[in-house]
Amino acid sequence: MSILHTINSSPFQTHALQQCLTLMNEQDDLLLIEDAVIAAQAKHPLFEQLKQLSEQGRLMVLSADLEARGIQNIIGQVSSYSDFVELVAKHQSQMAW
Amino acid sequence: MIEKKIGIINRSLPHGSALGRESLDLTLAMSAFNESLSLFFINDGVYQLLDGHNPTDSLQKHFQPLFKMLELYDVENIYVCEQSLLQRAIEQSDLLIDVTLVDEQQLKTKLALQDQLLSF
Repeated sequence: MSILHTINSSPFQTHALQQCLTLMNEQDDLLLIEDAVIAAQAKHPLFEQLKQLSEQGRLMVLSADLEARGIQNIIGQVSSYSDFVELVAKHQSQMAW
Repeated sequence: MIEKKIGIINRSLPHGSALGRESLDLTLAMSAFNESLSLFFINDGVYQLLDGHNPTDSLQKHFQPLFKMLELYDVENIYVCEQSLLQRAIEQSDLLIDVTLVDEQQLKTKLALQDQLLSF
């Protein structure tokens, strides 16, 4: 059974991303929302780890929050609110970090 | 109807925010109609269970004794992250209630078994 993990804080502000990556199972996906979208653009210590996740197609970034902050993501798949809904439906449960 | 397995994840320190108390209130309320509750204490959440809170001088509600109600309410699946305890130099014997220590791998497995996760 898989989990959709969502993170809403910057990796420079909290350890949510680090804690989430530690506890993610192989079938889980990660969606970056709100301030966390910068994790798909900035050079932070966990960027390489996120990149791997992205290459496996398991990293998504919410489009509206990228646009709101004028950020171009380097990694992750840009997702709309309806993609968000589909992700929620695809997984057994959701974990909001 | 098959009962949903619900995992309540505690990640926050007590008294800095109301999350800890809200989580415990929710747990006790839900235990009345759900027998498949699992509690997880990870990262700073382990401080919720560190015995000896005394928030009276900071004028906050002393809710820690309510954790002892969990046993009475038959909430028995209480999992605490071993690594989180180690990082914070807390021993299992420092905790207020009986818990099951789990490592990160066991935690991952247990989280994946839940139908619904509530994060505090």
